[in-house]
Amino acid sequence: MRIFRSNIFLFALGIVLAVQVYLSFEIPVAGSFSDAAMLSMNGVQDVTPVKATLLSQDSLGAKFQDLYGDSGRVVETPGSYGSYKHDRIGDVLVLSVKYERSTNAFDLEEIIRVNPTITFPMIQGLGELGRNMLFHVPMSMVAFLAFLMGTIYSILFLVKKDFDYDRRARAASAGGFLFTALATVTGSIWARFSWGTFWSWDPRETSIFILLLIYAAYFMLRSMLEESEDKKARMAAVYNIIAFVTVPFLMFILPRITQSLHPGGGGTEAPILNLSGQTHTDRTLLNMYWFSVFLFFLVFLWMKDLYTRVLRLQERQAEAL
Amino acid sequence: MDFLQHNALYVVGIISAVIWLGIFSFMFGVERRVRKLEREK
Repeated sequence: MRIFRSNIFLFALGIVLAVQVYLSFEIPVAGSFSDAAMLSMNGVQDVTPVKATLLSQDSLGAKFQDLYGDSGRVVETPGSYGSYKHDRIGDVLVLSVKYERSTNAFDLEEIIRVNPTITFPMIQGLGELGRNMLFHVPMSMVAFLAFLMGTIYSILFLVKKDFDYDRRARAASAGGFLFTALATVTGSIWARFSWGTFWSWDPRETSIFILLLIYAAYFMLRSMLEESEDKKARMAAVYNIIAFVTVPFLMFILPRITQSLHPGGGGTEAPILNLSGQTHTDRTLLNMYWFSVFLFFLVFLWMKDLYTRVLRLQERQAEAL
Repeated sequence: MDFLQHNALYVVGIISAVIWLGIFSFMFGVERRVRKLEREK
């Protein structure tokens, strides 16, 4: 694609990618007073961020109401308000609070943000780890799209006998393999902090591992065959099409029909893609998610284009020798 | 250690940015070399 040969476009892509990384870590995660009380009482999390409006304040502390309608009294800790002026009733604050059962009030640890433009929701059991949803899940989605593109190119190669489609199929599948590996690594790190272990042979982990093996076999097949280039390309194209048949089953169906640690397993509704067609994810998080999918897909297209051109140059060089 | 615990989010963010920067720089380097070779051909 010609667009990737423009320095201005690539520069813009780099900038937008940097903005995506910045926003993924910069937008505060905030829950409700109920979240904070529950997490503190269960001993899961000592300090929890809460997004709430300042209703009133007196010498004992301040009264807030969060977005879900829960009210909470926040006892002021000396110096914790910093430079923030207490008399701005109606201000929306993201507060870091700790629940105190004895006083049924919240100790203020820190004011994280004053009148934030956007916040991410506090997902029970994930908290700050929920940010990985902007890396791990989009990478899996891009991997699926890459394998789909690889298969379309393989079909086009078999129909039109144009070797350029074969090169594109190879590059797209390589990109799909890379993004699957990245999704596996980011998911594994996520699992370590959410479930306590890097790998637990969860159905989705197992299916993604099998998928990696299937596509590793595709590249091995290409490099090990000692047939003519034409026959090698045709066999690889047929294998690529057959390999893709397993992708929807391994990525979408199997993890949904079996009991799984992942959301959406065992008949429960997946948060983003599910049969009812309704997403159960906060709008801000969902918008950032689709933005990440779009951005990573652009990066994938650049990688595919680049690898296709490298393969073309390699073949020309081999022909010249 | 205390610094890392209090600023974990920023540390992870910076690591993530550095990894992307590395990938991007590498690809841009390859892009330039490929363009040069394509012009030579």
